[in-house]
Amino acid sequence: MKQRQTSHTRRRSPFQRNRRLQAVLLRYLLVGSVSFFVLLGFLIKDKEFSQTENRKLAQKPAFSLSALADGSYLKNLGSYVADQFPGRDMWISLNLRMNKALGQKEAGGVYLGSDDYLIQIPSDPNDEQVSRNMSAISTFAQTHPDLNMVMTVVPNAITVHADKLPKHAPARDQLADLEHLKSQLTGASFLDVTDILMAHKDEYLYYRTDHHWTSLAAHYAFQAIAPALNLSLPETEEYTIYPVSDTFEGTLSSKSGSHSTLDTVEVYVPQTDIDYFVTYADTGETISSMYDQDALKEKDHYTVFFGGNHSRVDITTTADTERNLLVFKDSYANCMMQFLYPYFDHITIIDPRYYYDNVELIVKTEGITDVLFLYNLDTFHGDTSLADVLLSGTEQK
Amino acid sequence: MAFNDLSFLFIFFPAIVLLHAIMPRPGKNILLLLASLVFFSWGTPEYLFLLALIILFNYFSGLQMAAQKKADNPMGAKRTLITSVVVNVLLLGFFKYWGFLLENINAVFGASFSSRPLPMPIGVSFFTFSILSYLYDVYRDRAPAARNLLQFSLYVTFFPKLVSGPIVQYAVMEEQLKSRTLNRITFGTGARLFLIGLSKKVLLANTLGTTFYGVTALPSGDISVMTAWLGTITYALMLYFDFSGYSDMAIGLAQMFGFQFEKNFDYPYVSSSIAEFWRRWHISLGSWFRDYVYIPLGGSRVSTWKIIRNLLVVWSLTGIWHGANWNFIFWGLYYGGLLILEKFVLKNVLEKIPGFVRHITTLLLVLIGWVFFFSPSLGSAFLWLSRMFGMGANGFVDGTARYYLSGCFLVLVISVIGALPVCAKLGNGLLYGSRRSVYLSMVWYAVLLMLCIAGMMVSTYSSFLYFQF
Amino acid sequence: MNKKITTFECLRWALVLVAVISLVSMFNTNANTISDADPEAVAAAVMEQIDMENMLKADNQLVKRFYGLDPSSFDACILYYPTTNMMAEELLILKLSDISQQEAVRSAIEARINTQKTTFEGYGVEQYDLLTNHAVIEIRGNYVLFVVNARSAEAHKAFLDAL
Repeated sequence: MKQRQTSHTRRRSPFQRNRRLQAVLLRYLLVGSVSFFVLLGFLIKDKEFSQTENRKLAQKPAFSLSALADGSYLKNLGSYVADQFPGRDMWISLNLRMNKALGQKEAGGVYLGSDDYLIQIPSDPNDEQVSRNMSAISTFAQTHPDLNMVMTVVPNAITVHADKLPKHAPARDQLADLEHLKSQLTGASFLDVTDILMAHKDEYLYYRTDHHWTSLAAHYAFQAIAPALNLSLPETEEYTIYPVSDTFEGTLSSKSGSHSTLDTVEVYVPQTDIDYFVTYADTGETISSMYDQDALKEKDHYTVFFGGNHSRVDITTTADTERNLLVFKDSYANCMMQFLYPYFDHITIIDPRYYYDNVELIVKTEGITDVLFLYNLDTFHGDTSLADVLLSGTEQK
Repeated sequence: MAFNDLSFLFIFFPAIVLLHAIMPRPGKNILLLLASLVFFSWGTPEYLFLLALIILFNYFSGLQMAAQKKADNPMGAKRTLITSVVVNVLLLGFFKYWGFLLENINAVFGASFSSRPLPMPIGVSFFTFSILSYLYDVYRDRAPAARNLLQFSLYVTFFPKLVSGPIVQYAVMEEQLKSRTLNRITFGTGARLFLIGLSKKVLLANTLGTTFYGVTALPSGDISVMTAWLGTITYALMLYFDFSGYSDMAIGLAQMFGFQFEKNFDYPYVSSSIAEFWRRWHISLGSWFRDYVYIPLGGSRVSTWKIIRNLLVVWSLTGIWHGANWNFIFWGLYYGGLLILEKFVLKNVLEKIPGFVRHITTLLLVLIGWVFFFSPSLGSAFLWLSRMFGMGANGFVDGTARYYLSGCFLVLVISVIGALPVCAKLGNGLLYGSRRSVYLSMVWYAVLLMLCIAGMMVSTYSSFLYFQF
Repeated sequence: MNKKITTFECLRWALVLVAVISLVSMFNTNANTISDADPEAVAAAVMEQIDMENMLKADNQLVKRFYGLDPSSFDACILYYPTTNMMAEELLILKLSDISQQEAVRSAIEARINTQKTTFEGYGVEQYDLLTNHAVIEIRGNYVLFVVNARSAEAHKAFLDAL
């Protein structure tokens, strides 16, 4: 056998012979592995939704001549192949693993921090819109001098958990950003919760896999906000803490493709006899709890608070304090309400991103006495709707 | 669609390979032409009709020139050549430079023409240059005019070289369009080149890209000397692996279907002069400009002033070919100027300089050139250069530089080794040393392929850099 | 022989002519055809294709808020938005008074899509999908369509047919 081969390829050097052998083998390797994945792709059933990426996956495009002619068919076919590729999640984590091994410390706009912390890299502010929002808040405050207004902008994990960042990782100076916001505000008091959060920076203040803060962090912030809202807290506040989930995997996991840890979500239920019910303006539902158990069956366990964001939510309580609070907020505020409700008769929560109606009307009809603006810095830097909501009321007056 | 898209590797490629294998020989050209048209339609289907018109126009131009030559009418043939070249160049100019032209007219005359430019047909820069080479080759009798429309269409549209070259001259490809060697060895050699190219693009270029794009997105006050150099070096390596990887894939694919193309890159960063760099970087473009612009203008066999003129013409064209932007023109002229200096002024000096100094100087000049290439405007290019040389920089090295360097250090080391010829020598020794090492090398290629698939999965949005040209 | 050369010459210039015509027509259809169609009729044709049950007609104030555009600068401006604000569906039809407004309108709509995407990113999976894969911006001469809807492709076609 061996002899026959040498006689057959006698005139070639061993080097050439090996090259030829390699060519033959490589043909099998390339054609074989491509066919393998193509066949596997046919065998595996298409998926609707990706849990890990938290998005709908592209489906097989319907063929039509017009779709072929305008190029959309082939384009959609491309996304279909990528989205339904056998073991897509596995490939993505293989890539992340390789990049990590090569020394990369960020993925998809997220820093891969120490202690399994994923930390969102804040985006640059939309300066023009930020000043517009700030001046709209000031104007709103000046048209309502009788209302007690407090604004709190919460720094993000990149600031509070700076010690978890990769070494030398560039980070926005959020402290300077907050100072800058404070300097633009007149007529309302700007309450900076950075100090109190920093004092507890070794605790579990932000989720490891999500961009939100924890109930614990909100609790610390509440203690700083309470005096500004003139709330008379009891000597010892008592809360029953329920860990409602220890399998939370948030948006930063999806963005970075890193799935190395899970988060715990806790809710703080005040030990009080004050009752409340929650009304959702968009669905008209009235529910006796601000916690949505069904959310825990979904991907995003942070939506256990109010089931996510809504344009307007009303909390009516039996507190009988004759104070009514109006909150303008983003999703960071969702876990703050559990601390606030015992101190107000009524809380109206507005998310300006989804709210189109007149705010002045609310101030009148609900007999608002206090106003709280509660945002996180990164979202506030990109917000484009607060000014419009605040101004729409005053313009129509 | 790029070769590093999943849809190419897992739809287009297997379909064509399968059909090509079962198709009897006479049908293979038809199949490859159809495949090329599908490939073209994947990006800009609206231009399919226009592409057909372009092919037919140039097909008839070639036949007309041949007829005129036969009728002993060289003036007529010359007229045909000139009119055809003008039509092709105008078309290319219309797609590529229309917006740029209006922009500059508006700036100079304060006018406000506004027109949303049409999208560019895929590969227009490349297939126009292929066509121009055909016209001139026929005119100069370097090749006979194409009688077979199928073969000519395939020459213009052949999908491996359609999007970003190499620009294969008609005289070179003509024979292969008629007959070519096809066997498992040519296929396997092509497959090897394809895999290597894919790895260069997906594993090295894209990874270097994350550092480069991270660094260039930094606010300009936060850039230290080290950061600026890191950005420039990662760009130089990224562009090399991106483009040479893509060329490797193209040449490898062509080989799988029996075509033999010359290599497009030959370790450019080891050059010891600018002239050598351009003999090693994007070889097919360099030789195209040499054969179809520089030599027809008289080449080097004319007076010194005319040579200088010829060089300046070639290099401003090279610059503007890369894009409708003053940066690219400046970049082209920068090389024109350097080559003139090298050829006339420094000729005797250079010979006395030790080799390693010449290598380093060449590399430095090339790196400076890339700054003009990657900057969005001339002003920002000079700003970046001043940061590289310490002016206005945030110190020599800062935390940001350390962060990015530590993130890409390993890739940089691998890339630098990969950009040197020693890498191929080592690889050949290791991989073809014995039968056993050949079998073992399959594991290596399989791992590369798997890592590439993972990289392609993540970067469904990262497109190939040279598409814009 | 000469006859052959003349034939080629004629064929070549005929092809150039066809190419120029096809390019000019592409240029025009892509940008500058002015349509006299009635905006209400165009809107009706589009709305026939999509589910309008949960959509409300917006006032001019909202146009300004959504896009930062001044409705009075257009010949016609029709905006529908969803009744519950947790939906991402949207329908905007503009009749421009001058085609020089095209670019400003396009960037305003693109900015709107980006805002909506950040709003829903992370938890509004359905809405985010609509905004990423089912948002259509079509600017055809003096008419503009912006639609976010599962059936945006059909709406798009109806829009083009109605012009």
